[in-house]
Amino acid sequence: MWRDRGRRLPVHLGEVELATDEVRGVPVDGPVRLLVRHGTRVLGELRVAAGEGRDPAAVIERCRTAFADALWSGDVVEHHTPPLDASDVSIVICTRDRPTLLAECLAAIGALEPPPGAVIVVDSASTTDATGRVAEEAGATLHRLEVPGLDRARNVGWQAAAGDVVLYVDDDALLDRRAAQVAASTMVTGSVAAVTGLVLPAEVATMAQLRFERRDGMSKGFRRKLFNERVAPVGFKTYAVGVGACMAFRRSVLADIGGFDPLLDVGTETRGAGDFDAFFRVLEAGHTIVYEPSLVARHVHRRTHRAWLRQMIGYGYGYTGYLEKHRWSGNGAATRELRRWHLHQRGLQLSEALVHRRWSDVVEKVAEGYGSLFGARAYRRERDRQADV
Amino acid sequence: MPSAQPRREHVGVWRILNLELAEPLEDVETSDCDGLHVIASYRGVPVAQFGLPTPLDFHPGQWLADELALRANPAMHRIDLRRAALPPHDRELPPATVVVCTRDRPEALRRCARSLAALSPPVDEVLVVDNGDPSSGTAEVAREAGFRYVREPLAGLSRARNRALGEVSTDIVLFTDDDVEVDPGWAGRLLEHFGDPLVGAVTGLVLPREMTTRAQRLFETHSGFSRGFVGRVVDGATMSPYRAGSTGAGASMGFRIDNLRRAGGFVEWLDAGMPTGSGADTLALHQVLSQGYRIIYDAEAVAHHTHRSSLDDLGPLLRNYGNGIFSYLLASARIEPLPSVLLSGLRWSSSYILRRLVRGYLRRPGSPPYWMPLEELRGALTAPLAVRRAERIVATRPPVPIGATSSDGWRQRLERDAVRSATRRPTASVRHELPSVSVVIPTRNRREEVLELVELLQHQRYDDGRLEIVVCLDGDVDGTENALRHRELRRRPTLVRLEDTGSDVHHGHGAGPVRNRGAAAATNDVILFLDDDVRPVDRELLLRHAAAHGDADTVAVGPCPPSYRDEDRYLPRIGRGWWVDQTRHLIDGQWLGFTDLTTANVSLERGAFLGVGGFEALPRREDWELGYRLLQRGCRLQAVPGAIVEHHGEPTVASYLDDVRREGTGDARFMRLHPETYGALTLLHWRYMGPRRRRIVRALLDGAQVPARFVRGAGPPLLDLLERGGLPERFSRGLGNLSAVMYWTGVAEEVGSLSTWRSLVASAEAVPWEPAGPHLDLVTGALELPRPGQRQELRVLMDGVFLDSAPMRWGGIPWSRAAMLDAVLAEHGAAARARRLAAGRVPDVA
Repeated sequence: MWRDRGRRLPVHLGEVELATDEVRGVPVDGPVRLLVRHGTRVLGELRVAAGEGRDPAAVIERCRTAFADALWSGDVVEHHTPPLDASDVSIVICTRDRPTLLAECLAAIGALEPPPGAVIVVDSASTTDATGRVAEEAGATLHRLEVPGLDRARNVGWQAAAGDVVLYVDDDALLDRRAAQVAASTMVTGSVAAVTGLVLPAEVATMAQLRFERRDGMSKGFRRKLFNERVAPVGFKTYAVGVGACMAFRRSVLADIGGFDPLLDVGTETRGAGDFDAFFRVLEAGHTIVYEPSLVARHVHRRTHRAWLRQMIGYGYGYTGYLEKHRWSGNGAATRELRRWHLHQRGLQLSEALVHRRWSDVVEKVAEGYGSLFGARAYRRERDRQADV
Repeated sequence: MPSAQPRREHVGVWRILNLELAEPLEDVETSDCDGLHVIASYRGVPVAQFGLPTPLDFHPGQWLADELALRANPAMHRIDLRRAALPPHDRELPPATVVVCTRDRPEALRRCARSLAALSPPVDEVLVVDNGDPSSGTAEVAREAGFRYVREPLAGLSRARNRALGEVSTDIVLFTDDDVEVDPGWAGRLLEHFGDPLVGAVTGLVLPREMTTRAQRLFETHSGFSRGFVGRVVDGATMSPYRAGSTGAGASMGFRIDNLRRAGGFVEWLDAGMPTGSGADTLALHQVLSQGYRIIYDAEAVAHHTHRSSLDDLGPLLRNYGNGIFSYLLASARIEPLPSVLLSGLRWSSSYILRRLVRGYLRRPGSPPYWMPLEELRGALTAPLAVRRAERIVATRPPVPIGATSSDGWRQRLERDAVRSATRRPTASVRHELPSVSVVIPTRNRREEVLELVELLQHQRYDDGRLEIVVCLDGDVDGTENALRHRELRRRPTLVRLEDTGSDVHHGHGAGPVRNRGAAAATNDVILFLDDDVRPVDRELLLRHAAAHGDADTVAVGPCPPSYRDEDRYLPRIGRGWWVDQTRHLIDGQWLGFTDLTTANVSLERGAFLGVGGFEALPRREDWELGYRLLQRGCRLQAVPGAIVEHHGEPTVASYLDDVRREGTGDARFMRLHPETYGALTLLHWRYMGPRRRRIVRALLDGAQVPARFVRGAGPPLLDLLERGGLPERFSRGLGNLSAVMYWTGVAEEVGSLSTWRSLVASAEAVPWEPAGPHLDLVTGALELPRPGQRQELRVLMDGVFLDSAPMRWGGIPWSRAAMLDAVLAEHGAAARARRLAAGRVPDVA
């Protein structure tokens, strides 16, 4: 349990590589979250409380013990070679007015090994030219849009990409060294249409970030998961599949489903859920999505409480907007899903949070609920607005 | 009804993939299916099952390996270690009958019969009860397989099973269904557990035989028969009988037939063929627990059930189950006190049905589609009506004879086992004649018991000239001395009397000093200590003890199972379980430590006894302490399982709590004398206490009197309430808490203050390890137990490298190797597996 009481900030983030017994970023004191890996595999996370010994050898021993079972499996000799490699991957970064973060993001991408086939920056109507300068300095291909909208930018991204795989990264996320390779090799056969990755925090420096991470943040766990409407369905709950901060699609599949929906996500009235909608339509088309925890990105979460709250409200907006879209297109299941979602979030989870007196969860649920009041209307307004244009 | 519309969950073609993990893992071809239902075993023992969706023509090798590693590796380590550290013992299997009740399914029955014919070791008899149409071909199948065939014309699974009870001549009966195939080792595994006389029923693991359709997959995932891959004991003495359903079901279960007959067989108006649909098997298991007996769930006794393949059958099936569970609850209301019925009914409906219903409706991951619990709920709601209709049907029928209960109880069985094991084992006797024996009996205010014991000793087969009886009176309030003097006896007891100056009103001088005086008065070579409240079960007691004394260093320990008048009370049941385990331990005779020496029935050379200086003046535990010194002196503990006495004290909660308090004092004094024994005494709980309990214990050690006063006053009536409410689980937990308070109060009486206690612990923990002393290696499985004089702890090693210490108390019982091993594994298993992996000691799956 990740209790904030008595904890000291910041929480340090370190890494342990068990194949070479390397330890990175373990300070002398303060709590640490260690990402433990073995070669390309991510085994899990080990949390070391403040005041525990930090001898590197002891840390490695602890990791070996904690992941003894996961380590055991080793590598099975596959009878085939992955059809794709990193050079088939085009990385797309959609950004707007965040040149500093973008520079860091591009620097992380520059360090990828093996390097990706292409790096594309889509400038989504930034007000200054700083974004363009940063992108050009990093040697990325730059596309500029005059109309804001994340999904619009994402569409430009895949249309401009050359490779078979499009890996989307948020401008406030840092890709892991092996990301391009893992994304490509996870697409084992034609029916894996998309791969989502594990998104971990890039820093836990403020209480807002700690709160966000307490409920696992954007992480979907350290077990590989498979989603497919026939054998492992999720329905509309595509928030279980992954997050837009790190996701890869086959370009052909994006073309088939018609890309992302420009009415959704940041930059429009609906404020989010463009990724969920894309996952939903990919699954609906009968494809498979794999959640691969070895595909790692680190995301800079909102630093202030105000921004955190706004994000929560945004989730409410986005999710209801996305359901409104499918309700409008005649899918009755979306209405039922909306009812279930409210019952679960506002009914069960909120009462549970109240019973256990987890006030930050209460605030989170209420904020999300507040946002959900306006999502449907926001979607309709956005639709009308774009129809006018 | 929701079942009309197509549902989206888990469709596609699935198949079962059986894996043996001791062999290298191969990549799997999955183009023919949408998912794999993986059943993994290791060295023939099933360790995990899970579903792996594979909607693609991809190669799930790595994925499979990752999943298996997380799910199966701990179990594999445990299996390896148990094989290395625990010596196998081959027990005689009791004769048994397998009963298969069938109804118009000759094809399924044929497969079942084939698997039963292949059982190894084979069972004595297989009985097929035909509850269907006589022309369906069931009789032919039974005849072809060479099984006995009985027809029961009146429909009802319970009726058929009861009919079988009347036909069976063996003590054990195993049940399976006609749509089940069993593994060859199935019966052998189940029967092995009946060596414990308190085991009333056994159950086994039921795995799916095929997984082709969605109905089968839904059933296995969300309802199913599997009860996990870890075997366990559910003891009716300490656990709620409502746990019966979690141990298993009719597809694979076995009973001691006596327990069934005493419960009146299966309840005829429950189960298939009746409007109630199911539930009689659970109720039968329930009654075994309710009688205070044990159920053992053995995850290595494997049977394979063919689930219904059609989705249309699944709804009615679930409705049947819901109906059955609720009918079972209604039936249990007639034998159990109301509070326990209400509690379990509430728990079942809220945490099982409603929770699954809500989660299913919200489509939470891992929950069944909501129509499944809904069907169960529908069934449950119709249960009262179903019960009424079923009872009306049964009322018109003639009763079926289920056979007479035998007069044998668990005690007779235990005694038979003990005597049989005594004849099997060669005695160490090298003397040409038997030694002269003094029987020393300390007593205090138990006139009738002592008179009876002395009377019974007259009938023991032994040379009069070589036998002496010494009764040592610890004060004499009730005229024991007079009564003994005036009784006409051939073997007159020598009477030794201590003046009544004991400080404790109830306990006089204490058993230790009294026994010392008795032993001083004794003149013969061998002293046999008996308690005053025991009763020899046959005339061989003295002979058996005497025969064990081949050399001067033998200490012969005999069992003393209890014989309580009222075995339906919870406290006697708990005590009974402890003594039965202890007796069985003596019968197995694997490793005896000083904690096995109980003075109620022990004999030793007088020279040895005087040589170590007799008993110390401890209020309790004087027996362990003596045993410890004897072992240190080089004596050898030998079990004489045939020399049985029955112990017939009648425990009450108040007297038990008082005993526990004195145990605490005794333990503390014991530890003062021999600090190295810390790891084998209950005192060790100090090291592993949670913060709350530790706070209380600290206060007690600092002299707080209020808790003990409260426990003495309010404890017994509170526990009595729980007993009347039919809540054995809460009772035993409550008793554990209360006795912990009393125990530490007792410890405080000895040590005086917290700081003294702390220094005592420090001195105990400072006792050095002996090089190459007792150890348990978690990688190689090497196990060596400590000798007296050594620190009573194991060093846990990994490939020879010290990891931690494991006290002998771990696992709860100081003398159970298996329990100890499990406790160590739970604590250090992961670290050992990491080392095992690094050392490359595991079969390579790659």
